[in-house]
Amino acid sequence: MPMTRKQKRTSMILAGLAALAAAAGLILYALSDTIVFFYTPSEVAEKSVQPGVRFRLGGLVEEGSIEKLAGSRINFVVTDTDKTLKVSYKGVLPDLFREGQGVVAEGKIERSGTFVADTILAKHDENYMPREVADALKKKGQWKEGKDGKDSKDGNTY
Amino acid sequence: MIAETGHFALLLAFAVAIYQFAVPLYGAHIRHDGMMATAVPAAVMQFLLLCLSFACLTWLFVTSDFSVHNVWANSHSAKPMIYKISGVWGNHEGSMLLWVLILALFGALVAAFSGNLPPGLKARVLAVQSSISAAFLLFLVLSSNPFNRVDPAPIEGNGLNPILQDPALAFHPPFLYAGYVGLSVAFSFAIAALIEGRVDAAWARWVRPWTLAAWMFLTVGIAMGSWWAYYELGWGGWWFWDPVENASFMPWLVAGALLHSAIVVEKRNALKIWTILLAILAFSLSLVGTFLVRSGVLTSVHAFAVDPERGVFILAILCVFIGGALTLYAWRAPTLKTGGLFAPISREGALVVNNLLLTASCAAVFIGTLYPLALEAVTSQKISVGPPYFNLTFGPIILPLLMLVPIGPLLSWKRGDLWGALQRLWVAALLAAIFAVIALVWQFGGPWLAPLGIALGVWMVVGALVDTANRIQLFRKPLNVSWSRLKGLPGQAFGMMLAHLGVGVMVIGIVAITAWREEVITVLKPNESLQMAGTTVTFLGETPLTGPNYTAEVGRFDVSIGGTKITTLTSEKRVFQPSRQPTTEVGLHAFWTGDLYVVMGDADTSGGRTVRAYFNPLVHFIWLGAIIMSFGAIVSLFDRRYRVGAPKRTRAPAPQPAE
Amino acid sequence: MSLWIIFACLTAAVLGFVLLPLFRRQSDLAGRKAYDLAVYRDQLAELERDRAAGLILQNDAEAARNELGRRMLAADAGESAAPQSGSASAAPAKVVMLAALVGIPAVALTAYTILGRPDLPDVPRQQRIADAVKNNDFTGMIAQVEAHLAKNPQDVQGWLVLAPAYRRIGRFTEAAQAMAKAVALSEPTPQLWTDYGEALVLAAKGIVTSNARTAFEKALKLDKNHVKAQFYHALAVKQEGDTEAALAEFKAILKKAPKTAAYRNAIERQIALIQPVAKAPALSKEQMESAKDMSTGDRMEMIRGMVDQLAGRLAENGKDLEGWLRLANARMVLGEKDKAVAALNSAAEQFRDDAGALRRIKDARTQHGLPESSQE
Repeated sequence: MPMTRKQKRTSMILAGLAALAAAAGLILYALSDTIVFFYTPSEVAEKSVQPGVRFRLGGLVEEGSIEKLAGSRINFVVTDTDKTLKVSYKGVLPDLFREGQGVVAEGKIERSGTFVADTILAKHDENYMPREVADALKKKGQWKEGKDGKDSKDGNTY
Repeated sequence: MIAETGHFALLLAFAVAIYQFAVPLYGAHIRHDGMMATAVPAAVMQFLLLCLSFACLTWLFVTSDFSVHNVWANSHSAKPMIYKISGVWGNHEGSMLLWVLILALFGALVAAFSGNLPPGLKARVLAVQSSISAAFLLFLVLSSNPFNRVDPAPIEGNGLNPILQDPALAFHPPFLYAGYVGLSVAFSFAIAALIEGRVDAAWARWVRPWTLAAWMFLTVGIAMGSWWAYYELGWGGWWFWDPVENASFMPWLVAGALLHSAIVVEKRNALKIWTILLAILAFSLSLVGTFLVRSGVLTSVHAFAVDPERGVFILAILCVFIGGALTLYAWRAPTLKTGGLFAPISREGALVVNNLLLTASCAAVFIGTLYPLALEAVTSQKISVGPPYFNLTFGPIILPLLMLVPIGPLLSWKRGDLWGALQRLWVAALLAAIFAVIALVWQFGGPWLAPLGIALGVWMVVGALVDTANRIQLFRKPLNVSWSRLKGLPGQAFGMMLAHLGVGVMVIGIVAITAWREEVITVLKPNESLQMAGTTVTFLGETPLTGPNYTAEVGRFDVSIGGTKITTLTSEKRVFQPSRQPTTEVGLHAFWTGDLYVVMGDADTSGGRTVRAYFNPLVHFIWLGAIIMSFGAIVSLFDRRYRVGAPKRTRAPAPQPAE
Repeated sequence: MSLWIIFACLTAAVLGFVLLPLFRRQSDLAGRKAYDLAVYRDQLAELERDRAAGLILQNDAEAARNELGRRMLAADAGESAAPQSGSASAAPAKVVMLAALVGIPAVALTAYTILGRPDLPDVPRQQRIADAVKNNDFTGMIAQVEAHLAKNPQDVQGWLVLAPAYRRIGRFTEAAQAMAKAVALSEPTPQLWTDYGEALVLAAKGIVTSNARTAFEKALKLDKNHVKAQFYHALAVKQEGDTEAALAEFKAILKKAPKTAAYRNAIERQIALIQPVAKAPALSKEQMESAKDMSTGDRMEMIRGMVDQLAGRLAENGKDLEGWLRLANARMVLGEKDKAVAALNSAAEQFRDDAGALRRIKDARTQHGLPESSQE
């Protein structure tokens, strides 16, 4: 039976809406399933994050904590100057990964309590502190605004 | 003198922009010829003034005039000349000046090439265009003035960021901006049409070439950025779903939708209201992109301007323009007459599906990009939405679109014959199947979806060719007839074929690198080697090197296949001198089948070096695809049908009825 | 003045060009539908071309032609037969012209007077370096020598010019490096060795380092009567804690010094500083401590000498913001708070028209915890 103009138009609009609804459903599902939370070591302790949950860990690399092991595995400690968390990572580190500098690592906590990272986020500029880390440290009053890392390290107060 | 002349030209351009906004708009309202006509010289003047201003700033950079704050902060007398020049837009202030300059350039181009536009429409388009200029010039002058001075002048500049000294990075912003800003023309046309309450036939013809040009620039800009990230960042990836990448990708998707819907407006006088909405959305997403990149709300790889005050300013501009445009749309769109009807299965229907899927995929990217920011602003809970989200949403939405690409052009207008179209595509289907089998055999044991992905790419490439072959009746008529038909083929048809083919080529590259990339991370001592994709990569050792402004450890790697040496790759870890900033240079060798990508990492305790090597199969197909797509856009732009003549000019004051 | 002429020309050109068509009757104004029809006619022609080339099926061409025909009819009928004519009445155009003639220059000039710096000339680096001597631009002169030395690094004379220049603007480390180059490139005289040593001492903030001491010893080897080298040698001995020997060396220099020699004062001061300590037969732990203080005292002495020199220079030529800030800084280090305030006040006086400079002076006050001044 041929459809009238109006029916045709309505059916097209309905098909379009159905497609959009499917897309919206997909987006919502993906959002609930794939997002990764960001925690500092204190928040990890506070929220008692379960082993096996993926999250991003941010903080400073504790001075003197970097341990290079054989087979390009590396262990270090991430600190927010309050709590610390041991991190283990295998792979090539970003250029600007250094002691005392900000870092964001993505991975899971293992049963042993070590955070096993599969990604260490590269910082791209000497002056750049990952936003989450800067915010978290600001909250703790550990962050000094300075033109570059040198200023805040020397403790010059402006 | 030059610095102050540049500054004054900028301010004068601002004054002209206000004039160009107010007078033609009022003139169009009261139908005053002279006031409407002044839009054209005003647009040209605004462009010339900004040219002068930009030229002055460039001169200041070239002569290292450190009495200008912007030059002092972003340049250095020891920079190579090319980076002194690219330094003009390698910083926030200069890049915003470039943004406004390109905006004015598009305004001037509209003024120059719009002889065949009705004067009222032309005046309104130029006025809207100028309102954008005026807003951004105000922003530039008040919060990011590139001509601020320093007294006394320092003797040496501050700007030697080594990472920014790279040709691809230096020249991709102009392309991206040309793309972002080019969409402003479509926006101005849309707003002018809403003000007038009518969509002329000329309107439809005019929106498309401007969108096409903008889309072409965006394609080139995005591809250059991606290429830079690929070889410079040393992560071996080509696309990271980074918010800055998404910021340029979203307008690209919507501009793609707009390109297609504008065809329906032109050919069938349908989808007008929707097309106007797309034009508004495309430029709105450009503004969102500008906001994301320039405000520093995201701190990501590219964001080098951090200043919340600026962010609020851009946000205000954003709200006024997007909010104003959408309000006007809600108010005026219902008054536009709707046009031709069509069956669901028809060329129009296929283009509607294209639009739905492109906008839906853009929505997915939009939500994934902005949701973390919104959530943090509201709850201060920090989350990250990474590639898994985008792969899960963007992939399934875009996949059906890619499958439909070869079919759409084969459907006829109004009512199409789906079965007939599919029959004509049997060659494409056959070749796709053959390539899927080849891929399955060649890479047995790889991801089972990958051969299907390759099949999809082949389907698109061959499908695009089938359409053209069909048009020239290849093998159905003698070859010389086909040849002469091919020569007579309009540029648009060629452009479409190339663009669709380019997407197919890109799909093949993406599937190959995603499914079959090989990665080895290991520790190598000198003279040890690793095996990868049939090649042997031998670490020869490292030598120190002193460059012009850096010191480096250069790792050398021999690449051989079956004992025959192919080449020697070098990967460097550089430390730049004034800043102590380290960077990595990648060793890259392009085979026909893909790239061998070697990165030397940190020293290991045992005296070796961590080495990361990738084999990225067919990765160059990604950029090749982008080049083909942009080339298609250029071919389409030179189509003769855009050179519509103006109506017969009448000397007499009383216009004659047209023929 | 010529700057304002450029501005005036620019503005005039812009106004002339933009306002020109304001009174022009648009002679080519066709009706709105004429534009639509032109497009449709063009589409028809294009359709005809495609059909002739066989690019479109006869049926499709027919359908398309029909549709275009319908649209042309619709366009023709859509608007009233006589298209609304535009007006070119002069009255509103005059208003607009007057408003633009006043408004455009007013906006640009007002903004410029607020934001612009017409008083500042361009300072391209090359030009600045070339004119450094003419303009008495010390920083420029240094850059000039630096550029020369980058090309001719073997030029001893260049390094010898550069080193004291660096020293004068307080870049002591670079002064020492320049001296090191000069020493390495030439056959050093006792004077050169001594100057090199002194540069090292200044770079080390008054401490006679072992490198510096070696330099003075080399000078003395060539000319054991070189007074300055002897002085620094004695100072080194003192800083190492052997005040007895140091005292002896100072006294020896003083003995040989002519009555009128200007350096007598410095030596006498050193002797006065040492005397009470040196009298003790042996150094107790406490005395060791105070000896250390003494060498800090020496350092202060030296800084004071340099600071006075800087103050003298600034008194002659006050247009040196960096100099004033450095002076204030030095005064604070020496604990002379009043003099620091005075230095900043003089700076504020010198730069009272320069907002940027005043901000920096204000920053300096905050940094040193000094009270703010109403000027800034």
